[in-house]
Amino acid sequence: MSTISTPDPIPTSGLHVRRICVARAGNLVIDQQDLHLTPGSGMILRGPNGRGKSTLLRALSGLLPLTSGDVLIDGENMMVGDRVESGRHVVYLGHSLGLKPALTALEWLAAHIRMDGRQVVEDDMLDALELVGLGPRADDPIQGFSAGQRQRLALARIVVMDRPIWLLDEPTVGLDVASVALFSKLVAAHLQKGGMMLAATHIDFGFDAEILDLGGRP
Amino acid sequence: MKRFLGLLARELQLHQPLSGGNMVPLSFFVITVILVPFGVGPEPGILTRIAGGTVWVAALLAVLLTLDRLYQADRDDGSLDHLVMSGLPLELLVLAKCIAHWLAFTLPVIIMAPLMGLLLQLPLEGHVALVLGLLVGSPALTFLGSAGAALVVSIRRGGLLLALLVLPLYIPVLIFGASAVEASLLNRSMSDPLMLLTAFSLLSAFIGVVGSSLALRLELS
Repeated sequence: MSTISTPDPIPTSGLHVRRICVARAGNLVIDQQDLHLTPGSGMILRGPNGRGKSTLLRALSGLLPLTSGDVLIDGENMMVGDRVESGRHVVYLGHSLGLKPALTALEWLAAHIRMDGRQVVEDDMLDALELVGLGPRADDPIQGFSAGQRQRLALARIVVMDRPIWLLDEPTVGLDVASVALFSKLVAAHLQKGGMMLAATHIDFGFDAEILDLGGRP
Repeated sequence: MKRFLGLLARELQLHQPLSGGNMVPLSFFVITVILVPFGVGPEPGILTRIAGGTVWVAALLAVLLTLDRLYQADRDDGSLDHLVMSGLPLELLVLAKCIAHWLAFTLPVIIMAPLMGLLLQLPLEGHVALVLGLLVGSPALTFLGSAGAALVVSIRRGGLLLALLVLPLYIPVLIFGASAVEASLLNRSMSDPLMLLTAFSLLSAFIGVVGSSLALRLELS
């Protein structure tokens, strides 16, 4: 039933989501959603609570099964069964940050790099911590971090994971004005390098990004 | 493979071998065994006869005590998402977590077991059967427990439910483990129960890995 013609050529680069549906507990939360991100561009997800912003981000991260639809990254179909196997291309920041209080900031970042199968380069991690303003706290246990510092450490993970596509769910929760500015700079630099970002947020970053409004209450 | 080793390193780092939290199950094991002579009296004959079974029961309870947080801790703080997205198949993720858990919690219990056997006046030949039995049989405890832990991952205070789910499955391990000790005391060959224990551990590894990853996949939906 190809009632909607797709005149564009087959997209070869970027993130292309075609008519995906995602259900939570039997309710169709995301219904026939399209989404296109080209390298170097960012997109902001808007919509009231419960409209499916987090669901969409989790589904694109492969953490929720799709009911239907396709997800392509750089022209390659990412679907394996009913899930998006996008871990190689995507890094996800959710509401739960996955921090381990017993580890230091550096140890925590290093654990992620090791799980990624890469060699741990301490300078890269220190650079990332410097970028989010946590340079001096690199060797402190996460236990003593404030909510804002924890959020910034989670952002440092996004940087060291070195994935082209950032999927961010409320990335600025708990950040003060200065930190939000810092975050905007991080995102701008990422997009400059040809990266992509899809973020659910209610605040203005102060840079041009397409806005995808998921609409009013279902 | 690098990812697998990376995850293994992370798990061992988080379990922090030889730290305070790691000693709790071990202390639980020791105290449970120490309680028994107080309950049944100091008659050497009785203690010797029940030593194998007692150490086995205490060991499996100590292992069970630690299993409920195997996946729940990562689920609660959101790092389960990171693990799943690391690109490692869920089955290997489960395997790495089980191996790390066994190294961090079960191995210390096995090392401590001969001392407990001594306390219960277990003769030397019994110790060999006890330790060998624990070495080949305890992986079954971890793997079966892992499947249970993955099933109750989203349930608050699921530890009790986990015990109800998993303890009945531990019965074969207990029977063969204790009978290996008994066989050695009666100068019979202990290789039959040990081989059965090994077989059961291998079967449990398969069931545990497949079951845990199915349950985790269910959790992520």
